[in-house]
Amino acid sequence: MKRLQSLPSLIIHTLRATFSCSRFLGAILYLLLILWVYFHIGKALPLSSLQQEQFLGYIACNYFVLLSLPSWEQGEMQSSYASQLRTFIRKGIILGGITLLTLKFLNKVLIFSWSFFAMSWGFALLSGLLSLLMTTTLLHLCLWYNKKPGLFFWLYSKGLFLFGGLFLPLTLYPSWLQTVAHCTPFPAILADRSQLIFSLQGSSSLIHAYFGWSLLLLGILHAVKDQRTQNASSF
Amino acid sequence: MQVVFNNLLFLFLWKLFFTVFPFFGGWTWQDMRLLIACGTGSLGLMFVFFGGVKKMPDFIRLCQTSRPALTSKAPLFTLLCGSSIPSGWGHLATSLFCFMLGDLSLIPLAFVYMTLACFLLTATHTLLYSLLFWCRAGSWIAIYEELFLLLSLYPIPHKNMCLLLLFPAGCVGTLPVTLLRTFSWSPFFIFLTSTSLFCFLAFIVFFFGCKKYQAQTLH
Repeated sequence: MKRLQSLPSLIIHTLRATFSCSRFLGAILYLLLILWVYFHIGKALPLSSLQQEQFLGYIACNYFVLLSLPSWEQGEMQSSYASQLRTFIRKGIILGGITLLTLKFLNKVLIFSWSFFAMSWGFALLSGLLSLLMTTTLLHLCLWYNKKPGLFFWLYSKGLFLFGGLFLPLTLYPSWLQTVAHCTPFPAILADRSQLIFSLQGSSSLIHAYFGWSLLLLGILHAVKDQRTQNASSF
Repeated sequence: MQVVFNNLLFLFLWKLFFTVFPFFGGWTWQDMRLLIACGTGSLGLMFVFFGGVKKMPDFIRLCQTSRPALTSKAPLFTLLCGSSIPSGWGHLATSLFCFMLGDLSLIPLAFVYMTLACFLLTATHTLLYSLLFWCRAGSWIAIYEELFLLLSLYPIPHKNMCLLLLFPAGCVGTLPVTLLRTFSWSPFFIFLTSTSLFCFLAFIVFFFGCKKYQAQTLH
């Protein structure tokens, strides 16, 4: 009984903690505005209504994950890994929920359902983990080379913007740019996951991409950590 | 350099978008190019000539803590023109590049609109920061700035412009593009009225904010 009583209070506490942060409310407003902007852009595109909904859904799936990722500028990446992951999950659930409700409100007929969003959240969690691994590897590389991480994280955000297919599906990119993009882990974080809205066929290759990139990044991280430990002990 | 790279990346992505969808909601690639040119140009002019606007929160904090005597007869003008932000040159370079991709003959007329938009941007920022005289809303102002930029630099279909004009982000990007394509007096009048109104409001709000602290200092 005590546990049942504590669950609502825990939810209320989490919601209160989340909404008391003006930055997070800013992210919600940004998400709503971007959905409004793309809703009108999508409606004006020469596409069928189904394709227009898919376009908006693709953008929405990209943005809710992008805005949930820990940010370097806001100091979220400087906290522990567990805390970063907790922040991502909390933001992802709330922003994802808001995205779904907004899309339900904007579209009278919704092609994707709660089950699609549940799957999308599952993949979003994998995206979050991959992004966390990538930023951790970047941070360790910066420490190894004695460079300031700001510029690296700026490049990382630009990589997400361009190669993540933020507002245009990667399949519509020129073929050379698609090839370049798929040589980076950014499509696995954003575009490939959101493209599942067009077809679920890519889900198995997406899982392979997650594991492949995670293994590679873990390998690099391990090597850098080893090197740094050796350097420290040699001094 | 980061600003130029950022803007060019944005331009490149929209180029990709317009390669796939050459026309939508009254927008073409030429319009988008003009939108980015006008948006970045106005922002660049503000950063270069009224860079002090970003120092307003510090000035207001100083007023609240040490209550300095305002020696200048026009403190707002002194504050706004007192410093320049180097990234503004990056925005201006992007703007020039966007014009160079198309019709260079548009530059003189575009410069007039960008100057008006620059006054409007400065006034909006001044108005927002002046609110700090009365309330602590620093983080909200940063959020508003972000949303303002988003609405200024995205191609919203023309029939949905009402919100943009109220915000008034539409006056920074969409309205100058409309005027550059076909000039007509009614949008120009809206543009001029909006700019004058916001400049007047910004001046009044800042004046009363300073007055508040000067009165407290006398007491």
